[in-house]
This record gives sequence, structure tokens and C-alpha cells, in this order.
Amino acid sequence: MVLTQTMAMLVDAYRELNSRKMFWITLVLSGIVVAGIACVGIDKNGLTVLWWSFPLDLFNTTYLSAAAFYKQVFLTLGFNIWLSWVATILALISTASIIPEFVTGGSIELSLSKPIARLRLFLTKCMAGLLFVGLQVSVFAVASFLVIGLRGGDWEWAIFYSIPLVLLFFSYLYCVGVLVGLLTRSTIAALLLTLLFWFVLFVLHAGEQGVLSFKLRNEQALAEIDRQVAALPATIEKTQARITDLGTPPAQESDDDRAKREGRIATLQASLAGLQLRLNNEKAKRPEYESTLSTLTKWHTGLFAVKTLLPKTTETMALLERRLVPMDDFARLREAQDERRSERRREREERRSARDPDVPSVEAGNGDGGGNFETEVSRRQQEIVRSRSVLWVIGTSLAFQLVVLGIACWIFTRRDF
Amino acid sequence: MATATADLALDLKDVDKSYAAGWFKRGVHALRGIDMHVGRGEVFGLLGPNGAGKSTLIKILITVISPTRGQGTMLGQRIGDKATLGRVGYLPEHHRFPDYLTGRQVVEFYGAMSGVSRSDRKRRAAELLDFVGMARWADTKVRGYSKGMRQRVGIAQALVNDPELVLLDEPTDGVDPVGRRDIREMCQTLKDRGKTVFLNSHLLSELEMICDRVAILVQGRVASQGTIDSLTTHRQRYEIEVSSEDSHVDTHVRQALAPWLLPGDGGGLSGALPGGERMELQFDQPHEPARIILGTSDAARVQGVLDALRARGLTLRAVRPIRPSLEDLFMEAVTDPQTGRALAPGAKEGA
Repeated sequence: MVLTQTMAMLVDAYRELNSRKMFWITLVLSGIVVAGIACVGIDKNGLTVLWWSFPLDLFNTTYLSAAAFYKQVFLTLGFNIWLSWVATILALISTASIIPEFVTGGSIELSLSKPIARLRLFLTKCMAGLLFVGLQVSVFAVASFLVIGLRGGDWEWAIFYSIPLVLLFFSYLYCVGVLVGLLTRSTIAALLLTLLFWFVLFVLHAGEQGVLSFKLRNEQALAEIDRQVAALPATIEKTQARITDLGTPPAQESDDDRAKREGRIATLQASLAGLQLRLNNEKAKRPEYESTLSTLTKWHTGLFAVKTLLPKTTETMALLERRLVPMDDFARLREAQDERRSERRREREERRSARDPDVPSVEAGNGDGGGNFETEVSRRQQEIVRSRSVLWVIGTSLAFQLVVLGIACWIFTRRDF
Repeated sequence: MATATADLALDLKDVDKSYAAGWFKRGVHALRGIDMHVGRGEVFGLLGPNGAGKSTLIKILITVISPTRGQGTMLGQRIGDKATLGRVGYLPEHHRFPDYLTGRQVVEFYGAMSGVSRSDRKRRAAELLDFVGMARWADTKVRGYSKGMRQRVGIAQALVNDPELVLLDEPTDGVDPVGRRDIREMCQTLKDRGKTVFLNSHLLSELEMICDRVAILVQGRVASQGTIDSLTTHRQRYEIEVSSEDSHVDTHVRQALAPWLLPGDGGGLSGALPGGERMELQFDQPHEPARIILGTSDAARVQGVLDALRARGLTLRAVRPIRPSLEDLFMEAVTDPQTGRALAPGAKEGA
């Protein structure tokens, strides 16, 4: 009997979806997105769209394989924009009415009058609501898999991770809609409050990432200060020694040479004053940076704690990116960027040394670390985000979902309709 | 009435329901200790004004709401037992079937929810849609149905699991006279097949025609319960119609019945028989027949009055026993005996 009832509810859910125009509209739009991805290509000259070719210097198969290009397009356009935003909003609109209509007078009596436990009835109905997303994302994943395979020549099975991930992501929001729909019996209230909840999650995530970025910048700045404070005395000493050396005139010195020497001494003294001022400034800045770092750490800890209690929509979706784009790819990209920056810095330094060989380097022997500030912060942030375990991302989100669904189940099983 | 529980489709004892309603959580006492018995194989009618608690009682039976207090059995199992609902069919008052389904799909879906196997529900859906006269529209979407058609499909879905007990909440609501007759016949057919039918309806004449037993619910209490005969017998009366050759029928009647008339009461328009039964005289015009109403169902007790009228030379135009209708019983139940006015509709407030 359990199987008969469950199958009947799932078939009914399918018929319900089938009757909704939104289901077919979303499916057609999914098809258009996949077709759009299939139309775009990459070759040795650059980008191609259908039969048009757009030559690009850096964007061609010399630097990026066709498979990597299609994966990136799938991730950016198909997954991060279409599935994560547009299709999800359409799915929320389509499924928001499922529970309110289910508990409407005249409908709920019929369901409750059947020999099926309330808990099972409710949970099966909730699961049936996920059918919408399940079908949509499955079709999209299969189509994307074929496009990447046929056009990119790489049969990337990891694409299919998108099915459970999108289902998980959607279920975080859907459970809130279920609870609101049950409490208010209103489709509009269920939809609007779910969207509001999603917006809150988005703002919280953006806030946490923003504070994390500031915190890492602060840490990086502090490390830079420490490095400068450690390195500057040696440079100062070196400059002083050079001034002392220049202060002793050679046995025979023409007026012209003397003028040049005194000019160099003056330049070095000015440079020395600048270095000492800089050392003092760096020392003075440290307590302020420490205090800011402490505040940012507290804020980040608080936001992280709140985030731990709530579903992590962005991180859940980012799990696919972890699968499709390994950290090594990021590392290679960063290394290439760093190398290019270092080259530019060396060129600048060479030009400056040629102009004035006595003035010590402004970088004060710091190698190329200071110039990579942004890259380093970005790298560390990326590492931190990627180091967050799947258990934390999915486990805590599922815990939230369990609590919300638990409350909904408790209400449903006890309520008089 | 001493009936074994096994013979009862429904046996309710002291069922009580209170709840808080509205924004201000106003206390509503919907049911106040309901005792009710419905025998197997009978058609039972539940009557009552709006808000009397009829639908609340049915919803308790099908576990849509839970009672605050009370106990009882349905088909021999305690009320609230989910498995028993597989042997019960139910048609809600304001049902809403998914409008994306056809009539056949509705019947099959609720059959599956009742645990009926695929082959059985397909066969029964076809049979039942034919039984309720919907075979022609079986594959049309529900959204295209009239109210009466939906009601017929509703009855079909209530019967898809071949239930022993069928609970029909206002089955004739919105149905035309032909449809009502069909539903009456369906109830009779179900009874003939040994099913118990529990009907909740406002249409007293419908119930009177098909119910074996009725209960009248007023403000959450059972005002009266029993067979229509048992409820009406003690309210039965005799009406005698007499005329005279002259135009003084009122005078002749008063003189003939003088021994039983109460002095000074309304100009001699009422009286009492020796057994205490009430007598009432009704006169229209002096030349038109007069009516004498005797509050007894015993023909022997009427004979003395008839003799007295004959002795006075009055012509007996008609002597007929009058049985009160279900509507009379209903109106009596919902009328406040002290004020003589109908009780306010709705459930009583307060716990």
C-alpha cells in the first residue's frame, strides 16, 4: 500500500507540473541556454559564434583547451547564472503553491481521509515538489554533458554533480517556502518570504566574504609592515655607510667630481631621511592595523557563526566549481599573473637604477612580495573558501533544513484542518 | 437501545471539541458531548442548522481534526485509526479536486491513496463513473465540470475503495433535482449492497425519504436521535374537520365539546381530553368547516369527541391522523422553548 500511495503522489505531482505552463517555459528556456552554449566555440584564432569568428590574442586554443572553455562557459553561464538564479526563481514561482493548495479546505480533507500517516503524506508531498527541479536540472545536465563532449571533446561526468547540488541548493529555499505555505496557506506569502530569505542568505554571504577580504587585507598589510620594519634598518644602515663612504673625499678630486659626490651625498641623505620617516610611519601604523584586525576578526567570527546556522547556498553551488576546476588551475593562472607582474617590476627597477644607481631601492630589498598584495589576498581568500569542508557546507545546511522541515511536520501532524 | 458494538458502524461516546478561532482566539465549543450510534447497513442522516457542529463531527471521524475529549469506534476500531479509513469513503462538503485531472484520474488517484491495487482501481473507476452517470465525461478535465458533475465524481471517488461506511457531507449541494434523485437512488443502492451511509444534509425532505435513522444536532449537542417513526410518533395528532348546515359551526362545536374546553381560555379555543391530551379548535368563517386538532396518536381516544360532534348534528367531513414532518421535528429542535424563537445559528462560544 505504501508503494501504491507514494507512486500515486509522485505521478500526481508530475501531472500537476505537466499542467503548469511554467514547467514547459523553464524547460524551453533551458534548451535555449544549452543551445546558446553549443553555438559558442573556441579555435586557434579566437572565439567563434556559429559561423562567425572573432580573432583574439589571448583567448584561443593555444592558451585554453576547448574542453576547459566549455566547462568554464557551463559553470559561468549554465550553472552560476541559469541554474543558480533564473531557473531557481522560476522553480520557486512554480512550486510555491504546492503546499498552500495542498492544505486548502476541500483538498486537505480528501488527503487526510485516506489511510496514510500524516507525516508520510506531508513528506511525500514535499518531496514531490522537488520533482520540478529534479527534472529540469537533469535535462539541463544531460544536454550540457553532450555539448561539452561533442564540442569540447571531453566527456565530463562531473557535470552530473550539478543534479544533487542544485537539488540541495533548491531544497534549502524550498523548505522555507513549505513552512510559510503551511502556516499562511498563501502562495504569495510563501514565495515572497522565500525570496526574502534567499536575499538575506545572499547578503550574509556577501557580508562574510567582504569582511573576510578586509581581514585578509589587514593581515597582509600587517605582515608587510613587519617585513618593512625588519628590512628598513638594514637599508638605512647601508645608506648611512654609503654616505660615510662618500663623505671621505678621494686624494685627488676635481671640482666637478666633488660637486657630483656632494650631490650624491645630498640625494642619499634625503633618501635616508625618507627611509627613517617610513620606518617610523610603519611602526606607528602597526597598533592601528592590529586594532582593526581584531575588530574584523570578531565580526568575521560572528558572521561565520550565523552563517554556520543557516543554509549555504553559494558555497553549495561552488562545490561543483571545486569539482570541475581544480585548485591547480587557479595556481597556474596566479603564477602566470605573478610572473607577468614581476617582469614589469624588474623592468621598472632597471630603468630606475639606470637613472640613479646610488639611491637604494624603494622596495627595500622586499623582493616582489609587496607588488602581489591583491593576488595574495585573493589567493588566501580562495584557499579559505575552498578549505571549508563539504560536511560544513552541506551538513550544516541540511541540519537547518531538517529543523525547518521538522517544525513544518510537527505543525502538519498536529493541526486541525 | 442496546446494540452490540460489533453491529455498529459508528459508536460515539461523549465526543467534545473546543478550539480557538479568529485573530483574537475566541473560544468555540463546537461539540458538547456527542453520543451517537449508527448501525451497520443503515442510512443515517445528520441534521442541524449552520454551525451546529455537523462537519466538525465528520472531520473528527476521518481524522482531519482531533476531538478534545471523547471516545468511540468506527467499524469496530477506535476513532483515529488510520488503517480503518481504508474501509471508509468520504465526500467533503466543499471539495476541491485537482483541476488538471480528468474524472477518471480523480477516482483512480484517490483509489490509489486508499490502497486499492492498480487493476482494481481501473476497473472500479470505470464501474463507478458509470454508476454516477459520468462515463461519458470520464476523460474530460475536472476544470470543465459543472458543480453537479463534480459532485457525482466526488461520490465515485468516495466509493472507489468499496467502503463499508460512506460519509457524505452535503452530497446534494448544488445539484439539480434530477441529480438529487440520482443521489438518493445511489444511497438506496448502497444500502441494498449492505453499506452504511452517513449523510449530512440540510435538505430535510431528501433525508426523510431515504434515512432509516436521523440525529438532530443543535449547538454542538444531539437534540434528538432515532428512527423517523420513533421521533414522530409521540408528536402525532388527529385533525377532525366538521361543518354544519347553518352558518353557526363555531357555536355548535363549542357546545358539543363544552365538557373538555378550558373555561375562559382564548374564547373557548382550547381544551384537554380526559387523558390530558391537548385539544385545539380552529375556526375560519362561520359558514366554512371548523378544524379540531387533538394531540394524540391513539384513535380510541378520538372516538368520544367524534360521538359528541355527531350527537350535536355536525357533519364529519374528515378525520385524519397527522404525522409531523422531519422539518417539523427540526424546527422544534432548533426553537428555543422559552422564547419560541429559533436558536441563534453557530456553535456556542466559550469552553
